[in-house]
Amino acid sequence: MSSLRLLSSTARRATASFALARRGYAEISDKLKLSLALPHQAIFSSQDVVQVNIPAESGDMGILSNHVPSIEPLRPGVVEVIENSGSQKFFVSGGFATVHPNNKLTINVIEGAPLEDFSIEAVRSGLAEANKVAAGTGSEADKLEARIEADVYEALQHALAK
Amino acid sequence: MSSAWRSVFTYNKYAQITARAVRSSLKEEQRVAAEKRGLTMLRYQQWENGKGGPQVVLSEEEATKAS
Repeated sequence: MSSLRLLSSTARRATASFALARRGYAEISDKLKLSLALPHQAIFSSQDVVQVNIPAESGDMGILSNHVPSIEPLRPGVVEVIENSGSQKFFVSGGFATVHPNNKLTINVIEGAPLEDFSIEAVRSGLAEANKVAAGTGSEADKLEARIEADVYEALQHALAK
Repeated sequence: MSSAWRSVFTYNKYAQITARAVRSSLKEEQRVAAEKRGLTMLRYQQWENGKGGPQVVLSEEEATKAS
């Protein structure tokens, strides 16, 4: 029992000294800075945010401040930006998210818009059209293209249904 | 998410397809604006003797060629 106590007290001491000696890059800020950019518009530029949820190719992930530097390809899906004042959702067509070592997150996507800018009717008719082409007798490339489009519409439908 | 497209399309082509699908599902007002800019792929300008020629937007040039 006493050995257990000893163990836990050393563990506590270890974390305390670790926190003091935490090494980081110069000018590190405690807040995550987000830049969300489209080719024609910057939706966020170096803005302080709390958390960003991204639809990475390997699965959905949430990014908080002091995230390990990484590069994630994005699939068509919802980017959720959580600020102190509330959260905003954007549907993006795909691109890349890069977490930089200085607590910055840049998301570059080809096309994206707030969820409320999408029309569920347009999504439904697009999905029906894409499914028709995918099941049709076009060339392999045409069918594959339609299948990619159908994936996008399905993701949009799923995002709008919530 | 399947990556079956990799053997047929380049990443740029794939990104183009997904972007087009996203644009076409926007509400009427935003969709018109998005599809206008979505057509622009490249803008180029020829320089000769230190002087820039007219800027040509590739999609517009393609459109006039087609008509």
